[in-house]
Amino acid sequence: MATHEMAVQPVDVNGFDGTAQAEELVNRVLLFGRYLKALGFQVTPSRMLDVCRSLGYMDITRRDDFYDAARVNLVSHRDELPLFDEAFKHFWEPGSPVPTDTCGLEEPAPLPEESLYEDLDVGESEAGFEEVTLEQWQPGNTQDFLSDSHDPGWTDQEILTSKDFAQCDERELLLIRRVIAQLAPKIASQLSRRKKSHRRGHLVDHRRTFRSNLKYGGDVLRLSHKTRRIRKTRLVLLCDVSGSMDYYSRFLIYFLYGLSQELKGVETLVFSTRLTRITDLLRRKGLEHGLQAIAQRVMDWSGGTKIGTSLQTFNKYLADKMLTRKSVVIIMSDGWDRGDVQVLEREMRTLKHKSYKIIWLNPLLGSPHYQPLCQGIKAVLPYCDYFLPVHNLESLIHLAKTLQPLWR
Amino acid sequence: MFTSIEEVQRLMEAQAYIADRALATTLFLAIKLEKPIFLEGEAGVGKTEVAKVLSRILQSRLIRLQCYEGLDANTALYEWNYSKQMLKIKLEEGGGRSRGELEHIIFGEEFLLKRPLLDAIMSDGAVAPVLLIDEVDRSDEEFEAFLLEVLSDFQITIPEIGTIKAEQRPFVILTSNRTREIHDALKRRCLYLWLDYPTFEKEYQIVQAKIPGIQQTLAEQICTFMQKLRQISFYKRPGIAETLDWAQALLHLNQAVLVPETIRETVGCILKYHEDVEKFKRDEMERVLLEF
Repeated sequence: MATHEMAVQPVDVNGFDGTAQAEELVNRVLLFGRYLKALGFQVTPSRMLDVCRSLGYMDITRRDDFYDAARVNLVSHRDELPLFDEAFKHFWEPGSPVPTDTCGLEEPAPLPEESLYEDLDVGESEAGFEEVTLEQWQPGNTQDFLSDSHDPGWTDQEILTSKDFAQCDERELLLIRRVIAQLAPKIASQLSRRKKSHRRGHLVDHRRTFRSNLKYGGDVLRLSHKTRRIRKTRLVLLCDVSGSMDYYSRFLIYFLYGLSQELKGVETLVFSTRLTRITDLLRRKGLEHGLQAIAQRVMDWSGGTKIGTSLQTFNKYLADKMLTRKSVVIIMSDGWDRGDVQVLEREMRTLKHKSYKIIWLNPLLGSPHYQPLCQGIKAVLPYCDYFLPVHNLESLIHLAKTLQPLWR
Repeated sequence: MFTSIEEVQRLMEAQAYIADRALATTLFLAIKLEKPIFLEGEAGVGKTEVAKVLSRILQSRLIRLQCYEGLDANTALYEWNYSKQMLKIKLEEGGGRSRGELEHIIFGEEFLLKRPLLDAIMSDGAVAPVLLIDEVDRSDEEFEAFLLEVLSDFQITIPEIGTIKAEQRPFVILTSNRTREIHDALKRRCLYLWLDYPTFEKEYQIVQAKIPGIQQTLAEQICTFMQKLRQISFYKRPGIAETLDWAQALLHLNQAVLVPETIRETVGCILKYHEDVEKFKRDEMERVLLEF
């Protein structure tokens, strides 16, 4: 491990006799480091030191060796490799315009992490959907959109007459927050395989037992116990905002907002025909501004549903970054998929492998006559750990109760 | 130790490991710069094998730490042999030793169970050992942080004994299947190398090196087939390990050339998921064979 205190070895570069030439080369290498840093690579002084030290051991007239040495020292992600190749070519190509300083790159132009996810545009956007319909459910503008809602193929008067979240107001938002506050710790903690000492634990803690019994001269008089620790879960929320879900949009946004505010490290994405990350917008204080920003970012609100391709995008580009095996994925959707059911099934299987639990929350389950008959739902059911209703406050309380005993 | 990259490459080849120049350069630099290597790649591309081969070349001990979820410092570093300690105390009863003396004895090295990391640090062979930390992506973040600490100065403190520092730095190789991202802090301290599936030429060389008795035509056919197979999107694409298994199996079945019937029967050697096998038999096999 190179540290800053480590003495710099004199760079004895083969083929260069004059120290002036060697110095120039080192300067050039350092410049290359700055160039990479400006491109967003994690270039640190100690890493650059190691690159320079590497030069001392090898024949630097071999371009491919130098390339390998620079790469193994400065790249630490597979995704960075193509960019590194380009940068290397650009910087060291004899014919290419040679950057003598940082080529105007003083202001680093790496993509901020947030923006990386924003415009993942996979799956063609369907023509004809309204650009943004979020304004419709700003508070005080709730009357008309009930009638607008796309009918997903079923009608149920009972749902319509029961208290729904289309008329949700500040007071109710507060209520939802309160229920979520109770619900959040239940979803977000799970048993770790690590142990901690515990008075009523079911495992003997040898280390502690021995220590505490030393005072009795090595006779085991008292056993110390340990139990499995409870750890924090990472949550990833994937919410369907397609036309068929319009009816519940308001409630779902409250739900997403509540969870994001209540728990740390929640990733939130919405999808209908494509996937959009809105994590940063939900972390803002106050839902009003957040809603406007979401409306601006999510271009396919109330569009068609392509759960399969949306999940595919997620698995392909984001899952490795967002998921660990401890992660719990919550998908909120009615399962009315207009895409290929086989794709959906395959992606659910992949997702299942990459996460700890999958909870599917389906608003339609709230209807007493609902049966999971549509193909989409049939395909995903085997991969869900929990398949539960979520459509109003009551169902949320019920959800909290259901998850509690099941979880451990 | 090594004088050139070519030498590393040659020595690895002598151990039947076909290394491309990038890998040889990485190993060479890791030894010169005394840095750990972080090998990432799909399962079955020969990550673990690198450590084994390196230990054979250096004629040093291979110490392996297999990571898993819940692996903690105790399991990776050291544990006291409690039962032996208890027994010792019993035996010493009435022996006239003072408390302090007894404590000194039972917390001595004799009662210390060395786990891989401590083993690597305390190793006193002629050559520093090779420490393989396998599938580090399976451990959790807490362990990663702990590893970072150990790898940065190869020194640990056992309260009862004191601080132990490695006399010679072990050669460290970490591998990851990339089921999750490893934190940058750990990767930054290592030389990073992504091991990809091999090219046809490389795979052919590997098959020839690992399975000496194989016919040239069969080896060629197998490699062509595997190259084609990897272009299909399976849940788990086959690696070199699968190629070698399969080649071995075909050899035992006395096959001189690939025929559809045998492929169908032995597909379990190369595809390990039921869905993949089904997909292959249903849609892909004929297409792959047509292109043959």
